Amino acid sequence: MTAVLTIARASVTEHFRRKLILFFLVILLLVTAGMLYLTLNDSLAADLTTATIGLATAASLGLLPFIAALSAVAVSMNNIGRPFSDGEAMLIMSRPLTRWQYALGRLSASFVVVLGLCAVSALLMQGVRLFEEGGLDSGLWGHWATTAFNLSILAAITTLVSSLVHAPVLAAFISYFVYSLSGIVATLYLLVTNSRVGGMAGALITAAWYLTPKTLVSPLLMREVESAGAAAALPGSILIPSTAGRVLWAVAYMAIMILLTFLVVERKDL
Amino acid sequence: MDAAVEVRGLVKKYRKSGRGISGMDLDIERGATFALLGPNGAGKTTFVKCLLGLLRPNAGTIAVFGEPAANPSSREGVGFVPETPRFADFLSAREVMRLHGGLIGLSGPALEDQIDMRLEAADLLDAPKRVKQFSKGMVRRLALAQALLGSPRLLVMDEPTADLDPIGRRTVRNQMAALTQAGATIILNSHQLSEVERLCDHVAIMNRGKLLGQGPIDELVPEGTDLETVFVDMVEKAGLP
Repeated sequence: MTAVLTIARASVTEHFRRKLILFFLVILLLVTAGMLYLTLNDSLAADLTTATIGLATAASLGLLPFIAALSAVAVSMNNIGRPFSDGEAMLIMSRPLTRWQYALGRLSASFVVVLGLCAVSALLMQGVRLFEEGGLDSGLWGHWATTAFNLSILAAITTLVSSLVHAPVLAAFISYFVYSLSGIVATLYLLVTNSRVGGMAGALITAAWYLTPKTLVSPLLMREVESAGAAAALPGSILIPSTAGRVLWAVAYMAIMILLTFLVVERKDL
Repeated sequence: MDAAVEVRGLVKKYRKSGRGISGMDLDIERGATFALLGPNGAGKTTFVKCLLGLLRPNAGTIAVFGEPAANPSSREGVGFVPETPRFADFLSAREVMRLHGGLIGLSGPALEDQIDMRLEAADLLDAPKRVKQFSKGMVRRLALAQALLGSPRLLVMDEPTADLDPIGRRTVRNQMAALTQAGATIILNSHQLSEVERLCDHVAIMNRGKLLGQGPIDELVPEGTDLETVFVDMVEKAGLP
């Protein structure tokens, strides 16, 4: 365990020295501030309809995890491929540690960075709410907890892909594609159910369920959308509730990604 | 014999080039300063990587102090200086040393004392903040400094003096001598034959993945000749790679 922590600590230090993380942090804070302006500004509430504000809030809530997702890909796309190809991992692996410890250390560092970014945004939101409204919003904690969990899955996917594809940008594209597969299949489902080839709908919705790593839906997003009466305007796949089955499958999905990474790294020559 | 390294029937073939090591038997005694010589592509680096568990052999066994090289525990007390060292660009020399010290179980004041001592010996106490700002020579000196953490009982060095200026080379030689005096075993891959003659007591010459000869340097090199002549004769007889 000490080896995993040692690798993770060095990797986290390295991540925070890269300007890329700072860039994502600034963008995340700007969007967070924009969303707070939307939800807390009384003059906006007077000018716009509730449904419009609800939809704008939902869009912001979707944008925040998207930016955080990009940061998760950015911190994970170099986890395995680059250090194995440029020789950095060779020196570390000449120490008494196993390859899975190395991979787990790198992945843990990605988790810490992703959680850190989510925590900064969540704390900013809660801080402003506490100041403006005098209370904390439990839905916000849920929103960021689910986002952080989903992004941890994305970090696990990216780490696996980075162990197979050494070019970091290509690894990033493939990972995000895999992460988004459920959305793509769900969109296909909507198309199919509204067309003449409806027979495929059952297979597609099943595929969407199993392909989805983005399994958990933010309780805050659900609440905002429902209170705005905007549910009908959004694609059905977004509103699939986070049942126990889906949570279990999300955990299993992440475990599969991590195990596959261990298997690939174990077979790699240095 | 009390061997630090025992190699039996080692075979490692690369799928793409078909090169590697084809059937190698070798014993390296504890406390020896052992040089592995050979032309480029002879299989020296492949051997070192198999020894450190970085490559999986196709056949044969390697034991380091009696432990199979595939076991991570065989690398306890082993320091390694690769041919082209690479460190995380955004870390400082001290952070690199902490990372490697942590991986061999050092921590707290004991680790910090060792880091100070090794960085001072490598003339890196006043090094730039990040490894990415280091010159090639500084990276090499850092590679040696991390390899010496914990005073290893086996030090494996792949071309350790390449890219070093004469002062850096002398530092490496002095540190090797200190380690040998402390009873450590040293394995050196090098093309610098004069350096090998000066530093090593045992030598093996390999070509095309096969050992051509091995033994104490004074037995392998007859009086009136030198290591370079013996090396060139052996490799030419076996056929250049």
